[in-house]
Amino acid sequence: MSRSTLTIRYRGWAIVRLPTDPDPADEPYGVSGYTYAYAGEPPLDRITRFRPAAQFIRPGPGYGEHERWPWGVEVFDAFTLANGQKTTVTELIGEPVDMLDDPVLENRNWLLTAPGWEPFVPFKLRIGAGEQRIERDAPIVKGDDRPAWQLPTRLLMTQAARGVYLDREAIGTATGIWDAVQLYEDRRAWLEQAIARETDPLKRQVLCSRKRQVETDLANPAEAIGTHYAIESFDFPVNGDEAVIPASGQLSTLDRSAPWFVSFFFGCFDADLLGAFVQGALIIPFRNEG
Amino acid sequence: MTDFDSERSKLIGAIQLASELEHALCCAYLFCAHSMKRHGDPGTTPEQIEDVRRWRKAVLRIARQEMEHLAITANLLAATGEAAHLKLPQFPVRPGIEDLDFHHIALNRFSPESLGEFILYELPEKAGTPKEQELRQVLTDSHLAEDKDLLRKLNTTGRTGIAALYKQAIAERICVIARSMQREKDLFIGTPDSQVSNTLAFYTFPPIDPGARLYDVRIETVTDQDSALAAVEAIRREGEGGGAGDDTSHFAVLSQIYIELSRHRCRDGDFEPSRRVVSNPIYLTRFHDLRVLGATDQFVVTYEPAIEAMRIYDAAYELLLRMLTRFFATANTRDRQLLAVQSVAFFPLMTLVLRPLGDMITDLPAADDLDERAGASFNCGRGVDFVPDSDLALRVFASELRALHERTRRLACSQDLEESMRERFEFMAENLWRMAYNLTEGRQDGAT
Repeated sequence: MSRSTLTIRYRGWAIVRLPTDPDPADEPYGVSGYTYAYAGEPPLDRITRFRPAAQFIRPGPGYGEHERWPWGVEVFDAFTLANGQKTTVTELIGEPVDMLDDPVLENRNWLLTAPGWEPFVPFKLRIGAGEQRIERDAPIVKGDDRPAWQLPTRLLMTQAARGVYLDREAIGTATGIWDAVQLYEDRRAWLEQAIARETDPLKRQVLCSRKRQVETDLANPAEAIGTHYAIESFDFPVNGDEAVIPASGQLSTLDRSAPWFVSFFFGCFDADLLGAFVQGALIIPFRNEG
Repeated sequence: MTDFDSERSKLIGAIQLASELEHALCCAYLFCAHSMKRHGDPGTTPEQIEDVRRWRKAVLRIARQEMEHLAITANLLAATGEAAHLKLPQFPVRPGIEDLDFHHIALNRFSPESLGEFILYELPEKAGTPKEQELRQVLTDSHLAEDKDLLRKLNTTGRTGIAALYKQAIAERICVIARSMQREKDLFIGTPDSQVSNTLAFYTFPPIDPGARLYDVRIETVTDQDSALAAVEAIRREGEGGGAGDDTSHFAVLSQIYIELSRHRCRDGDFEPSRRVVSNPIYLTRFHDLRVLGATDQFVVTYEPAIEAMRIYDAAYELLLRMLTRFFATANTRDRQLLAVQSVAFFPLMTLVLRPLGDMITDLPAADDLDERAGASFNCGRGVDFVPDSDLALRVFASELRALHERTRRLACSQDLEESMRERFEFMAENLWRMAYNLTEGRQDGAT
């Protein structure tokens, strides 16, 4: 008899303030790549934020049914599977999903891994909040305290993306954005209107800089706009020692010691908003009763 | 000596001279880019700083293309059976070349004056391109003294600079040897495997399209007369441009930056687009190359943390040149050792050490209680020697990287530095350690 499992599916838009090649990995403002921090903004820091604070969010247009860009990653589906029976876990739907402790895509200008084959370091996933939260980390090597930059590449790759590739169908299906050039054309139009409305000189300057860069990207769509269709896929066990599960209710019988599994893709990079789309699933076994 | 031998010898000398000039220019552009202001620097508006960033991106692109030109000259030399010529002259460089009109090449911060010097280096052989006309009009209409000075120089400078070197001393001589003397096969005796292309320089998986530009760079390969002339033409076109409507040449890009800078300065006479970085900075040590002591137009940096950062920069740059010397000399092997050197020299050493360190040095004062800032000196005092054994070379390079790691880590602990800078030095130290690891034991672990 197979074990009962909980599957939590999540998706949403994250902020990734990442300098891009050939800029150094720690370039604070962006020069030679196609991502920048503008006046009044925090420096680029490589950190991926599933639940971005307001200071990291650039003003942007609405998208789809949303008045503003729908930032934040959350659960959109959750169910248990037991003896082939699928049961929706409604209390998890809509719960926030976060990656804790400032995770970065650890590549460092091809130094640690080949481009597209980098892991998130550290990887610690939290679903929900408070007493009812689910949380666990995934150390690259259990019991090995060495920092990622000292780990052999073959070990880093156990949690790394399986290469970077273009997948218009996956991006289109997940986000509803099928035409990145049109997205950037619309963005340019939105920025023009925003510039006309803006009275604060500093904010206006940032909008003007963004519009100039969007126009540069449109003139050379292979680079920044091309990354819109790029995907990195991950799939690995989550087996840290400090798993957190709800203290009460049905989910309190989740197994904290057995490995969990996470599988997700990260892509649809928006060089103007410094955003990316993530969609994935966390699969957790229940304890074997009796 | 036959006519062929004599002409060949002159050709090799000219290509080596071109290598040194491209190399010196590359460093001058890098120094200039490192000096440019960024967010948080005082005395500039957000609008001005965004323009400076755009100009800085363009100057760095030109510097990368000067590296590409250096690589192409190495390919020209390899095609004739010669070694890559990566010697870096002492700054300031004063070429005394008969028949060619060169200004001296100095390490100067970004300013109308240094920009003007770059424009003169890249001046097209033929006068009157649309961009030159536009620049002349702006200079004529301007009331700024520096604009009038550049206009005067444009009117008096001969058009026999680096473009003329490529045309007269290299391209025309190749034609003489190959066509008039019918000795093409005797000239191009190198094997195609000894050529370095984008595919090899940026080796990765999946392989890049061999014909594609990567980071604005495409290294032309040379196997015969036609490809040699095409390579020379590619260098010339990138520098001075291909005629009307070519806005991507170095001359056109620099002219456009100058025009925009002039407009800024007409509106705001106090606008300073760069940090006050001293020219041709050097530092003195007990065992330093004596040439340094005899040079003029240099500023002796005395602030200790700046000196140590400059020393680390020079040691890293020298190591880079030693690695590239080996890389070009053994390109035909395509072996594990070659790819190990490639995986460190081109990307991480340039991007994670030299580029950020060049920027960070300009955060530091050149002397106690002085507003002027330090800068990289590009002093390769020990020269660019060849480490012959392939396995030993990796161990030697790794040892040098570990030494740099230790020095950088010590600098990261300096209480004289701000916290943000200490963090960046610590990050750099980590990366230097990793480069050493990748060259040696990391090769067994699947590192790139």
